[in-house]
Amino acid sequence: MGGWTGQFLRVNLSKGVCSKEKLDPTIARDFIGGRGLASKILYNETDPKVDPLSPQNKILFATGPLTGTGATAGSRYMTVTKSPLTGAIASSNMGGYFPAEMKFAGYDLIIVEGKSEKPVYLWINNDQVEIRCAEHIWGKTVWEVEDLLKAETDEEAKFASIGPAGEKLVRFACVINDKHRGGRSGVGAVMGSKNLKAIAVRGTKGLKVARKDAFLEVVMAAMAKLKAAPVTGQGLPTYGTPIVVNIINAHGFFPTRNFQEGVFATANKISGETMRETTLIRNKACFGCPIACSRVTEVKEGPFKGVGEGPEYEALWSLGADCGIDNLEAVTKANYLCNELGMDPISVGATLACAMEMYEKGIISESDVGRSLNFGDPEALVEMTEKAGRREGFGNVLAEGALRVAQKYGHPEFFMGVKGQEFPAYDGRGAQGMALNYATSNRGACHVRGYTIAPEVFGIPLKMDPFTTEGKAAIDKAFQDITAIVDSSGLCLFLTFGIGMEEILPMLEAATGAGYNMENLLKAGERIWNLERLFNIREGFTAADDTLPKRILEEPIPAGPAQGKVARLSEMLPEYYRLRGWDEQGVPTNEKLRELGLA
Amino acid sequence: MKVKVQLFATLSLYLPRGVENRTATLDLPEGASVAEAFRVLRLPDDLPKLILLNGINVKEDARLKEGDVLSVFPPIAGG
Repeated sequence: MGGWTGQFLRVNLSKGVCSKEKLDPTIARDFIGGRGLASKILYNETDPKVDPLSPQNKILFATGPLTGTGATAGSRYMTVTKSPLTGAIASSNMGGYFPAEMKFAGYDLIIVEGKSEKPVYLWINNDQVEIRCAEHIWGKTVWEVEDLLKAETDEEAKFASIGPAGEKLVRFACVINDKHRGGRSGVGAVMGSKNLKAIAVRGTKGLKVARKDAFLEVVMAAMAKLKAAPVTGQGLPTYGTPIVVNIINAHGFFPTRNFQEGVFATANKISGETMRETTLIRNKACFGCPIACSRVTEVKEGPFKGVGEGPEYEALWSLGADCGIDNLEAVTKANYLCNELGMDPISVGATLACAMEMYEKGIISESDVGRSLNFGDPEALVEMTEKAGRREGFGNVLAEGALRVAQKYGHPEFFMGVKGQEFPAYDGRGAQGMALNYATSNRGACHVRGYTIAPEVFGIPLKMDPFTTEGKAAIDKAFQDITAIVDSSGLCLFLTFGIGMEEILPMLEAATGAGYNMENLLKAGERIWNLERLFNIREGFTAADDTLPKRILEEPIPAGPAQGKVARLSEMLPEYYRLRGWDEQGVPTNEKLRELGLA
Repeated sequence: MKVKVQLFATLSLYLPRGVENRTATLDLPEGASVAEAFRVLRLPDDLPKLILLNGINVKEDARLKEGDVLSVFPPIAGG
């Protein structure tokens, strides 16, 4: 077989021991890799109800069989753990160059367990693995850490690290790859709780695929198709994800001021088009990607001066419209701070927006915050982003995430999210499929578990009316299962804007030779989704958690194209459970578990 | 009648010079269609487009009325 290296690394920080273990090929085939394989291992090896920030929790860095192989956009891995933000399973997807380098060093996964007494970092140089002292870099930002560790490891090494936010257990802290790529659900805080500052890796071994000629043929065909498709060949390379700002705003479900409105009147000021005309320097690609959607940007002068990457669409929304801010330079600066300090900008902006609403309603006072906290204030955005990342002043409150902020002040109804994780940049009232996906996503509110915006807005692969609930349960299930395959293979989800399962299946099969066909591969996606569900059920989550905030269910969007709309979850959820083969309480039936080999 | 036409991303090239917020105001005959508005702006027929009329998806044969806002995008996705 190929694709997988067949080996993983286990690092026990309590004992200071690193060991290499063989991957079970049957488990690898059935759970593919990445998100699926790591979820399986986490499920098997951790006890339910474990405190996410205790030494008993584990964090897995998991590549897929296509990561680093040269497969189109095979750049991704997942960090999988129990989330300190949600208490549910966390799988945080990242690209860049670190995941491929991990494979080149010879590892499909790195499992980190226990807790080091003192700050350490891991230095993996092919077969040599060392746990090294990190006291001299504790407290440093992600950007500083990478530069310092390059000097003491290898100029060509790649890094996954945490900033001050991870060290201080900010509940939405990220692990950041290659300075600028992080994910959601607070996985950085788990790394921080283990006193693990960074992983540096250098790999020079290369990878094998099972059927080289067939693999190259399908990869070349996929590359050509991605180049020819307007979204992946033109839209994303030219404008990046920020291209989406104006179209979501034009549909009237661009959440504004903590979801009080669906249209942000000055959205164009923080759009992809405006970024291209002002802050953009050039675009940039992850390993093996022909799309190159990343943005290298610069704010040339003024109070928000800086150079870095982003913001992406999601951050333009969370740090921008959700906080009522249309100052692109301030939003860009806040995004740089998120990368430097190691935080998820979605949660940062969404938590701040929640606090801003409570401030404007007189629930949070100026003395609580130490300053005013009105919507639309760019200075407040930048100051509070930095303070959250360092847990200073009111930032220590924000660092707990929007649900806990809203609960602290006695108004949980102002938390806009699901299962403790804040919503991303689409109001489910205007896109019913996305509302259902938010309610059922295994890691709390998440758009990239079942990105139904593709059919509901962009017409990919077919156009669906965003306001109807008809057919949404089926499309959600299909998208969620296919996304589990993409995530577990080590591919980037954005490929699916240009290619589909008819390319992904032969790519995976040619690389692995594991005997995948359309039927058993789709079953693997469904298996992964159900396993994550079982993890959450074991943690105490029930059907009552598959819901949305009262505002989204009952308060209509006040104006714009989606005026009068609410999320009609009750029209979709029972059908969704039925299609999934779950009982009325959202629990997989024994029959379904047997069918998936999970019984 | 006057309608506003917003052209985004690569379609911005077809906006008249000097317009703000990527929005052109067109003076069209009563009951003109989306396709007629596109002809005024010289938007090529063969360019694929996502068309929103007051935020709702429509096709090129949809009729316009005074005060309408037409938002037009090339095929895009992301986020």
